[in-house]
Amino acid sequence: MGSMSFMRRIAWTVGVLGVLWGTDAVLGKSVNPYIYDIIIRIGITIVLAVSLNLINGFTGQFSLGHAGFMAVGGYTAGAITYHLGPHWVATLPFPAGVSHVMVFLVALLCGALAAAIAGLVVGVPSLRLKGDYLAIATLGFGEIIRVMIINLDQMLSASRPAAERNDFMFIGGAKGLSGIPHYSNFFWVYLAGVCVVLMVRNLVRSSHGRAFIAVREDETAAGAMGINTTRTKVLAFVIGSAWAGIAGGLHGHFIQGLYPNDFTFLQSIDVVVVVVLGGTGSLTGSVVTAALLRIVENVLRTLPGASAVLYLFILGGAWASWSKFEGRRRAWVIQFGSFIIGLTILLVLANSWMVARIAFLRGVLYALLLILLMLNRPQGLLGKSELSFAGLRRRLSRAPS
Amino acid sequence: MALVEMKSCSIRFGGLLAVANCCVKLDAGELVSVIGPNGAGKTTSFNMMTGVYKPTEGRVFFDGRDITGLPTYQIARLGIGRTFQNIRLFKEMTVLDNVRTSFCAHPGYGVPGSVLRTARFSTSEATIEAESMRLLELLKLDRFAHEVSKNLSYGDQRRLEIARALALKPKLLLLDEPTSGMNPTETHEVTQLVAFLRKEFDLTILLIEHDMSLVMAISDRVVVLDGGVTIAEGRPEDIQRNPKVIEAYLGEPVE
Amino acid sequence: MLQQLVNGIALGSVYALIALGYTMVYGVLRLINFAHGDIYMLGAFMAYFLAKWMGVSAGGSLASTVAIFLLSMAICAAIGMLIERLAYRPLRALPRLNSLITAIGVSLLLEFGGQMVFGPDFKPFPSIIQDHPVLVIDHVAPPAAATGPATTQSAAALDVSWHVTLNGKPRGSFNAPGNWGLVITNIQIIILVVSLFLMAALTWIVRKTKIGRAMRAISYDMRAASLMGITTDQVIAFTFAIGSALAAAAGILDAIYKPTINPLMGVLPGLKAFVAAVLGGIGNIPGAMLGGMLMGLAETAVVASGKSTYRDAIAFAILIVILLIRPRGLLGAVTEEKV
Repeated sequence: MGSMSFMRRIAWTVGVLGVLWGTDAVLGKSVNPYIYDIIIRIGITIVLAVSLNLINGFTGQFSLGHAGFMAVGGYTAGAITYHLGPHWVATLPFPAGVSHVMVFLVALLCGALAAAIAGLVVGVPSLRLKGDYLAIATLGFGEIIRVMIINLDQMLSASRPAAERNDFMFIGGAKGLSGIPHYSNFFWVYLAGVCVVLMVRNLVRSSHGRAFIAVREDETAAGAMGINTTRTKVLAFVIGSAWAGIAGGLHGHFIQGLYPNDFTFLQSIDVVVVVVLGGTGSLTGSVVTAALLRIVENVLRTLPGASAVLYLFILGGAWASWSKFEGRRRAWVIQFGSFIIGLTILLVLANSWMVARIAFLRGVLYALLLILLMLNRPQGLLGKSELSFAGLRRRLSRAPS
Repeated sequence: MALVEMKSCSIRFGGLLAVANCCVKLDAGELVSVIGPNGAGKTTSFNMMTGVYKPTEGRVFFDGRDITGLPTYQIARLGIGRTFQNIRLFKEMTVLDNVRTSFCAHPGYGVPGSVLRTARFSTSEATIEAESMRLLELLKLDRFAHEVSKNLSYGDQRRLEIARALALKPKLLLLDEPTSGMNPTETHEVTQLVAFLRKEFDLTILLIEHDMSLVMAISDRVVVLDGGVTIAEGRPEDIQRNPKVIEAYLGEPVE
Repeated sequence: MLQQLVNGIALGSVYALIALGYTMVYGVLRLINFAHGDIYMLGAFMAYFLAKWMGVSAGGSLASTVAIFLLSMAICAAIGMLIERLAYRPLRALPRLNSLITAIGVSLLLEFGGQMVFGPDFKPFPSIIQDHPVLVIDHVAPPAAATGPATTQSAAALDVSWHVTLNGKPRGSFNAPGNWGLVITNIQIIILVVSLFLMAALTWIVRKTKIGRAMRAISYDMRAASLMGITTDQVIAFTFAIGSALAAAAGILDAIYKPTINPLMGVLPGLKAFVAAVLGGIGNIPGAMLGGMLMGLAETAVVASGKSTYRDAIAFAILIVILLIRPRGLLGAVTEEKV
């Protein structure tokens, strides 16, 4: 793996930045805000999933607290742009646009740093634990971070005189911090996406990456090869948390607000689901699944969309289990035929009931998807391998099975 | 002065005294075999030496240093390499990557180097790859370099474990039952391999084995453990005739 | 103070019942059954629908109450076994991470499904047991005693003068400094009695019956147990059944106490009971009971000290502390890995 010459690096960087900038300009004008929203959310999910994959997938440490680090980074960045931003923009000698960008970048970097420190504080004690214990420790820490965020304003203002306390607003407590400037756009979000993918990819294909994977495969043997397993785990954890922090900052500056309920255990689970469904240890898997999941999620918002997904489920299940029904074709037809007929009847008769509860139906389908995928393809979409053009060509040329 | 010495090491697990008062001493360049029935405490002694377990009593010295209780990775970096009784390869990694893990402790570049792919990264990686490939060639595994290690045959996997340990450039090599599960031909190959590696890399070797042909062929000395206690020690020929050893393995003659 | 103790024990009993399910399943399968807290919720809902169907509202008979309990517990036991059979058993050979994710999926399914089918609103639970105080200790002198020497007592003396009322009848009085104010309701007593009974029954099953021995054997080594002729599938199903029944009972008891129910009521108690199981030593049955009690007392103490916003956070704080200081829990055993 040779290193590129300086000129080639510059060329690539300029090229990528150009493509991102151009796409941002085009999207801003042509695509409706709803779709733009989804595209941004996909981007943020990519940053979260790839960074979690470094911890869970490549290093094999089951962390359930990623949302906590997202919160630390998000709130740090938000507090900076909210409290310090206006002042800086006013006093910096640059044109307003440039100053805003600088404030945003500084805020994001501080968010990343804060999240990294949080990762260190959580990681060092927790990473001594194994498997399930580590999972619940990280879950616990994630929730504690959230509780601390909710109570921070109250704690800080406790020492002030009573009259001032009601007006004191640092990060907003349970109500959240709204009025954060809208700095995130396609360019920044996907620039972050590109950077995190590159960083993790380069790390994985290096001595550090081999140390991560060795720790995942067999910690005892890794130690016997001179690898400081604790330090390796903590490194993965800190890098992953820092990027979660950046994702948090991007999120806050997109929805223009930071609310504690955006960073609960459920958010952590959501990222874990993306990583596991895409294949722990597969970068392209995380990227593809992030996109797929966010798209499916939105398709599920309406009953027609949900129905389509349900029919696809059944058809997919029928196709996948074709081989298991060898010699029992009639049973296969009866089973899946009845599913389809049953679903159609249900949709016709209970249509309004389901429409009224579409939000919960979405959750039910999400959960079912998770369970079914775990039961039928536990290694996720891509397992530990990466999607590549060569691989795709090979697969397609073998196609009819 | 001995290269490595275990002084009166004992270890308890709960109420069970697994190893009692173990004293093992190796001078540089020696090849010592540890034999004994299953459960005698052989692997446990290895584990005490490599920091996997901390002895409840006694001390371990290596190259003049007290290494008792040091974490495994530090002991590995000081120059003790080992293989495991149940092969512990990094299964999902390629053969080449398995060997390259031994260089993780001192890669020659830091995180910024690998992320930004600096020149230092390239040269260090080239060196690592070259040295690893050389080891693989020596152990006749080079054609599998990019094969995922779990796909290798059993014998090849055992050789890979040895290659991986050698990549650490150890002074002391601990081999835990390297011929377990092998037929006589494969065992003979391993015997020759161990003798060759000992000379080629100027190694001190501590070997746990059940196969007497290997033990008799290459050991300078043999130590016999039974029930956590050293019951005999000496030259291979003497151990073969030692009544206590025979009793431990075969039991007493029926009167 | 005494009141907090009583409240803490009542709360702790509920947590203990739920924690037992977590700990037993972890013991045999090494799986954290995230869906367990939602079984607690289902128990409450089953009881709700049964009570409505049976027409029980303002205080039913003992027979109907017992029927509701037993039926709900049985239904939830069946649901627990169904979940195990469909979602967990197929994944037993795979790395535990997959089962954990599936368990999360089942939990979400029950929660969203519950919201979809039952509606997300809080429903009042029919009072199948009428609530009335049983034991009361307070300052107020019973009317009959307000004659003679009592009327000449000074105000200060009244502060340390306590009267005890049992089942509505005055039972005497005593003088003691400090806060001895106390109200124990019949529901709290029922919670305690039912919990203790169920815990004792479980202990008896685990210690004295063949299937209990089988459960313990599986928790030590599943493969060896099956080689010894134990039908692991059946025993594991039984474990889930018992755990779910206990959780259902906890749900009904809590529903009677609150008295509202909603489809997400299992989330927090589930998490807290899980922490309780870890606190006591996950996989250890007396540990779950001890952990449950301690969690209940800790939470009540936090609320009593005035910082009620932290009542849920205390569970996580305890979790972190125990994981960092003594991960095996108070009564758990250390497990060694063979190298």
